[in-house]
Amino acid sequence: MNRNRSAFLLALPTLVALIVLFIVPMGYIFYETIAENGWTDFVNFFQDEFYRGILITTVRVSLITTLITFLLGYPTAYFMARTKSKLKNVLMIVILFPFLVSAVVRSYGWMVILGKQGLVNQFVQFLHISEEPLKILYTETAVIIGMVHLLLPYMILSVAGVIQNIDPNIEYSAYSLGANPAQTFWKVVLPLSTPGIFAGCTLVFIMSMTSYVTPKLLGGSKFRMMSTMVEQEVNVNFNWHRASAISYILLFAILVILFLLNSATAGMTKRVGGGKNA
Amino acid sequence: MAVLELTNITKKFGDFTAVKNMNLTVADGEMVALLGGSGCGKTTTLRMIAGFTEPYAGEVKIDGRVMNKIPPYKRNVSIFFQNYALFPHMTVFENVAFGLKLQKLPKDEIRSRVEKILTMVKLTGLDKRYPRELSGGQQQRVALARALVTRPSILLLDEPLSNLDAKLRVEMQVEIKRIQKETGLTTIIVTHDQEEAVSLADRVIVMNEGEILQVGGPKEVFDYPATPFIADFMGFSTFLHGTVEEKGADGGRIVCSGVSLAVEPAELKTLEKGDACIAAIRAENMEVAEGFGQNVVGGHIRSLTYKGQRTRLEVEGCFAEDIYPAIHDYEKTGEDGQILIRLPKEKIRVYKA
Ligand SMILES: Nc1ncnc2c1ncn2[C@@H]1O[C@H](COP(=O)(O)OP(=O)(O)OP(=O)(O)O)[C@@H](O)[C@H]1O
Ligand SMILES: [Mg+2]
Repeated sequence: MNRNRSAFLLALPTLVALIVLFIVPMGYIFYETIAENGWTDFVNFFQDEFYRGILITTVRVSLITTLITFLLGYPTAYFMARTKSKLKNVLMIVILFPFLVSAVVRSYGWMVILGKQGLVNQFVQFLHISEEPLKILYTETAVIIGMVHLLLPYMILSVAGVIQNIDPNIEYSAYSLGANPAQTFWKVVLPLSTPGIFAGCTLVFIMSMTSYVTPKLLGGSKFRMMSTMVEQEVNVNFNWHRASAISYILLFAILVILFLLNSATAGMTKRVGGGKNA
Repeated sequence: MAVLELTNITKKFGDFTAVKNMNLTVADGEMVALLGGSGCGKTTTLRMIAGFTEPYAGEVKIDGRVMNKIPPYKRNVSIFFQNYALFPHMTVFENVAFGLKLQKLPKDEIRSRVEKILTMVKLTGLDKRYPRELSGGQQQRVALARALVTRPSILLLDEPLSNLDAKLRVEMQVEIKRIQKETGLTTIIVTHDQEEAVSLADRVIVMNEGEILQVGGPKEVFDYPATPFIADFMGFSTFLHGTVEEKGADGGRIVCSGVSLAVEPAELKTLEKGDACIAAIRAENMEVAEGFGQNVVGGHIRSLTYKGQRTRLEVEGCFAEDIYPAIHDYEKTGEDGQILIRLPKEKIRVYKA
C-alpha cells in the first residue's frame, strides 16, 4: 500500500500535466461541439458515404500498415535479439535511421523514388515489365509504403526488447524435448513474444491512424485519411465543428480497435507477462 | 539407453578455451558425475552433447554415430538446465507434457505418464499452476520431471538439486538414482557437491579449467584423489609439506616440520627417500588421542566451530601448517586449549611436491 502510494507520487507530475493540458481542453472542445450542434455532426458523418469512406480507408491503411510492419519487423527483431554478430550494431543504426530524418524530408524522398520518372518506374521500364509508367505515387500503396518505412522501427524495437528477455535456454529446452525450429517458434517463442507484438502493433496502429504528413504528401490531393480531413475541415472548409467531430470519431475508432486487439491477446499477455498473482 | 563418446572435444569462445581436448566414454546405462569448480566448463560440455553448440574440434558420438552436425531435436538427449528454463506460459502439466505431445502419444498415456512423474517428484496437485506460482525448489522439480518424462536416450542434469533443502535433496537423489537404474538411462550429472557426486554416480569425473583431472569410481576419487588440487576440491582439509624419510616394503615414514609420520608404503610408490612431498588428510579422518602414540601430535586450539555432529577445529603448533580436524561429539580436553590429535596412518595421502 505504502509502496503503491509513493509510486503514485512519482507519476503525479505527468498525470497533472496530462489532465490540465490535454484531458481538460479535449473535454472542452467536446462540450463546445455538442453544446452548439448537438450530435448532428456525428450523425452526419456516419450518414455521409464520403466521410464513412474516409474512416474505412483510414482503418484499412492502418491495419495493412500494422500487418506489414509486423511481418517485416518480427524476423528482424528476432535476429536483432538473438544474434551475436557485429552486424547487430550496423543493423541497429539502419533501423533507427528513419528517426533521424524528418517526416517531410522522408516523404519527399519517397516521392523521388515512387514518382512517374522515379527510380521504381525507371527500373520497371528498363526491364520492360510495363510500357506505361506505374502509378504508385499519390495512391494508397504509396502511403502504406511510406508509413511502413516510418513505423517499422517502433515494431522492431518493441518486439526485440521482449524477445531479448526470453531466456535462450527456454528455446533450447524445447529443442531437447524434440521440437524442431518451427514447432519451437509456434509453441514457445511466438507466445512468449505476445507482449512485444501487442506493444508494437498498438504503437504502429495508433501512429498510422493519426498520421498526417505521410498521407498528405504521398497520397496526393484525392487521397484522404481522418487527420488530413480534419485539417481540410479547419483550413479549407472552416467547419470547426465537423473537424472536432471527426477527431472524436477517430479517437473512438482507435479505442474500439485497441480494445478488440487487447481482448484477443489478453489471455496470452497475462500468462506471459502478468504479475506474480496474475 | 545409449553409449556416449566424446573424443578430443574442444570449445573456444574467442581466444578463451572453455573445454580442452576432452575424452570421455559413458557406458550404456551408466551414471557419471561431472565435478568441478565454477566456470570449469561443465555446462559447456553438456551443451555440446545436447547439440546447442558445436565443438571447435573433436567428435560427439552417440551409439557410435557422429553427432556434431545433428540438430538437438533429433538427438533424443534431454537436458535439465541449471536455471530450469521452464516454459513460463504453460502450466506445470503442459510443461511436463510438452515432449510427450511432440511424440504424438495418445492423450491418456500422456496424462498417466505426467501424473506418475509428478507424483514421483512430489508435485501432485500443482499441475495447474504456472511456473511463476511455484517456489524455486518446486520449479526445479518440474524441470526434472520434464527432462525425465520423455525417456531420452541420454539425460543431462546440470545441478538438478542445488536449490532443495537437505531432506528433499536426499529424497530426490534416491529417486533420480532409482529411475536412472530402472530405465537404464545413460546420465551425466553436474554438481558442485562432492558428496552428491560420490553418492549418485558410478563414476566421477573431476574437471578444472576445461580439462579432466581424474576419472574414477566414487570411492577412489573420494579417498584417493590423484593430486593435492583434487584432494582440496574433494574436501581434504589439511595439507602438510615434508620429505620422505624412509621407504620400505612394510612401512614408510615422512617428516613434516620435524614430526615423523608413518604412512602406507603404497603412498610412496612414486617417491624416493629424500623427495619433497605433500601429505593430505580429510578433516573427519583425524581424531582426538588420549595419549601419545603413532602419528599423534600435540597442538593448541586456536578456534573451533560447531557444525552439528562434528566440531571443526583449527589447531596450531603441531606442524608449520595449521591442521583442521573435524571431531565427532567434541568435548573439551586438556588444559588451556591443548589437544592431542591422531592422523591415522591409512588415511594419509602422500603426493610429490
Ligand atoms: N557464450 C560464452 N561466451 C564466452 N565465454 C563463455 C560462454 N559460455 C561460457 N563461457 C565461459 O566458459 C567457461 C566455462 O563456462 P561453463 O558455463 O561451462 O562453466 P560451469 O563449469 O558450468 O560453471 P558453473 O559451475 O558456475 O555453472 C567460463 O569461464 C565462462 O565464462
Ligand atoms: Mg554451469
